[in-house]
Amino acid sequence: MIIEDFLPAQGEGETRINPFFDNLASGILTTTFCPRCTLYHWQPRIVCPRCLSETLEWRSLPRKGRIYAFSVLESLCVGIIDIGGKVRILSGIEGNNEILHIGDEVFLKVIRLKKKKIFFTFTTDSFYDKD
Amino acid sequence: MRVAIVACGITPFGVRSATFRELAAEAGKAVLDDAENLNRSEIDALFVGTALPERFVHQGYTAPLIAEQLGLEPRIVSRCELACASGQAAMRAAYSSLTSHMCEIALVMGIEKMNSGSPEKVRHTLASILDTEWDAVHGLSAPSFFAMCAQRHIFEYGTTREQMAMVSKKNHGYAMTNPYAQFKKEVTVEEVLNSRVISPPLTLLECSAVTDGAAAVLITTEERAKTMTDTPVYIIGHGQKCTGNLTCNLPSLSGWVSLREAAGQAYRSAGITPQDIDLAEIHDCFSISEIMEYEGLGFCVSGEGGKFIEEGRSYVGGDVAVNTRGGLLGAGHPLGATGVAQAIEIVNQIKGRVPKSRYVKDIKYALSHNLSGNGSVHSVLIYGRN
Repeated sequence: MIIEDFLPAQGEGETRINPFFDNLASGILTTTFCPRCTLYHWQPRIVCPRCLSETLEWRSLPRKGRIYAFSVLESLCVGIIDIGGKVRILSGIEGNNEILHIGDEVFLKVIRLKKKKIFFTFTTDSFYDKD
Repeated sequence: MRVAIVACGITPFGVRSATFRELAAEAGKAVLDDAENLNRSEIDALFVGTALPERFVHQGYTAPLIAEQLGLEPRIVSRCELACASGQAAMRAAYSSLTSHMCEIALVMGIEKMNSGSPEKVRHTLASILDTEWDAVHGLSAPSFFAMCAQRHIFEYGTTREQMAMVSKKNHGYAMTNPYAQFKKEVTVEEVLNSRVISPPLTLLECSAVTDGAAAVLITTEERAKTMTDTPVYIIGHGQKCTGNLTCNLPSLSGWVSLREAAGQAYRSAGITPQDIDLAEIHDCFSISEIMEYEGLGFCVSGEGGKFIEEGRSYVGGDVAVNTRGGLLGAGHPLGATGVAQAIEIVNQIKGRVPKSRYVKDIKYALSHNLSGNGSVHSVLIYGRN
């Protein structure tokens, strides 16, 4: 579930990380990468928090990861997902949370919302295993 | 230059039939009544610690509002915000202003009116402490964050559910002796474990509540303090550290790197070690937090926090008495008020103004600790009798 009040600005002219949302619309999970630091960022940035460089590149991330930690509150499951050792992402996790374990594999699921907004969750459903 | 707390005032904590400004007036009157040999016009600074008044009660610009309620006309006036550590942040601002000779007598008020509107509204307001766009947007909240900490602590160290429940039992037990506490009810380990599950493994009795309350202290220079009380309580050390903010980028969920640094700074600045602390008022917003704080504050090594409570080492009479006013679990957690209420317990303990059953004898050093948000910041103050 996405709390829509909290969605980040997405459009060109509203934010400089709009490529993240454009790529997500094509089913691709991306983030910024600082070539100077060889550092992947999460969330996508306009300035590298390590070296303050503005010369950043967009890089694709795997569309699956493994659960590092998770919790459930009123059937809403959230977790921290390790994405191929490059970044950790906090996300909702869809699926049967009663059988979840640390280390389980989960898959990216793009969520299309009202007013052309887009966001993501992860799911245990291997139907979304597209890599 | 040294500074000391010379007077204290607090409201009952709980679901209060009182507005934000009435809570401020109650705590403000209480602290001014407690002050001896003081003309109100001598109070030349006011620092207000409050986290989310704009959203809870549609009130910004809170420091001048509180000044007017109490008939104060300070030269220095400011509101401090650091989520759950806002009260301590206000005390730190007073400390800085006093030690840099900007003021002589500072009133510090911590306050929060949280019970205002539906539970959904309160939850939405609290979520705004997190990074809304990348954390709270997915539904992350305080209970679900601390449930992940508990999960990792259990996974990495084998901490048991019983050990976590013992924190709640201890703190509710002490709250029984605190007339200002929200929950004056003893609970057993079984009752804690069998209470309603909030976010597994955490149950209702392991989560701090939604609380209204205010707490205030007067802080002044050593010289002035000696004219106001025979037992000034000195603030002799401080440490704070911010490490990251976005939940997935925190260095660890099972231990707080920034707490070790904040505590290290605080002990060094006071010239003491963790083993010198007789009383610690620490941030048990959830049962697991207190266990992780025993470790981060250096009362025991990493992973041994569960054993520390199990062996009774954080009770009065143990290695260090922890949360004798009932902690956040027992006393309640009005965000901005908590840090100041902790300082008041330390003052009351040192002055011998607490019931025998929670009295810690011969306190030489005490500390107060707050974490804020998802533990990205930890703040520690150290207090001494001399």
